[in-house]
Amino acid sequence: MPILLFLLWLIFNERVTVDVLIIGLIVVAAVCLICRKIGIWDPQKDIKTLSKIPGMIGFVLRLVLEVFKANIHMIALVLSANPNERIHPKIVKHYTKIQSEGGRVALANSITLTPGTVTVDVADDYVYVHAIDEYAEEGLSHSVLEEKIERMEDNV
Amino acid sequence: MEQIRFLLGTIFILAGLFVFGIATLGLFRFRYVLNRVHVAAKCDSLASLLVCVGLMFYAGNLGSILKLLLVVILIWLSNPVASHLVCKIEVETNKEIEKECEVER
Repeated sequence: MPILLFLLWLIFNERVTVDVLIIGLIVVAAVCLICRKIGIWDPQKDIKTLSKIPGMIGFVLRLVLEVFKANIHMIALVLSANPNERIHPKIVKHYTKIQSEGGRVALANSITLTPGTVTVDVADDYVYVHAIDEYAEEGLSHSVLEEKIERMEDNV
Repeated sequence: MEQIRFLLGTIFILAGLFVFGIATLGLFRFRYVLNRVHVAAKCDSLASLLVCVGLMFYAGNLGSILKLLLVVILIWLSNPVASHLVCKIEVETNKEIEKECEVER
């Protein structure tokens, strides 16, 4: 987390000079100390997260690909002659094996990001998903993204 | 080199605007809230990515590129949350939801 914060500071500043570096170091140290005190940052957890970075990069790349594919389908749907007859909106209950809270949030967000499906509600072991047609529903039931999140969890 | 960058940026921004246009058209072509959310919120995620990538080609220096990357990350994190809330409220307050779509319990 300190590294991320420091990078963010550098991005906002757009230049690397001594005064920028010094102010950044002081502020980052203060923020980390406060977070440590009130217990929302744990250095041990950060080290565990490091091992998941390759999985995360793969996940993001795959997510962008899925967004592209689903968007093309969506555009075709909008441009078709009678879109209201071609869709079959349905609310599906989708069971998931993902345990951690962060993983479920990632799953819900990626479901919503891919067009054709919107997460309506998240519960303990399933998510309610509104799918616009059969194509979207099918993509949901065997999604690569979910497997990737599961694999990331196993690494913990 | 300069021309190639300009051309690539323009292509990406035009593609993004095209997707934005489709999203707006879709808003009017679908009939019910939950169907409209799909196009309204989701095509935006692709379109904003395309526009930001186009702007990255224009920008040229590393600082601006990274800032635009932050913009994309922020949009991709907040967009699903916003559309999820719209859907949740619609599903929970609409008593006649069964008329609009099948519901699995």
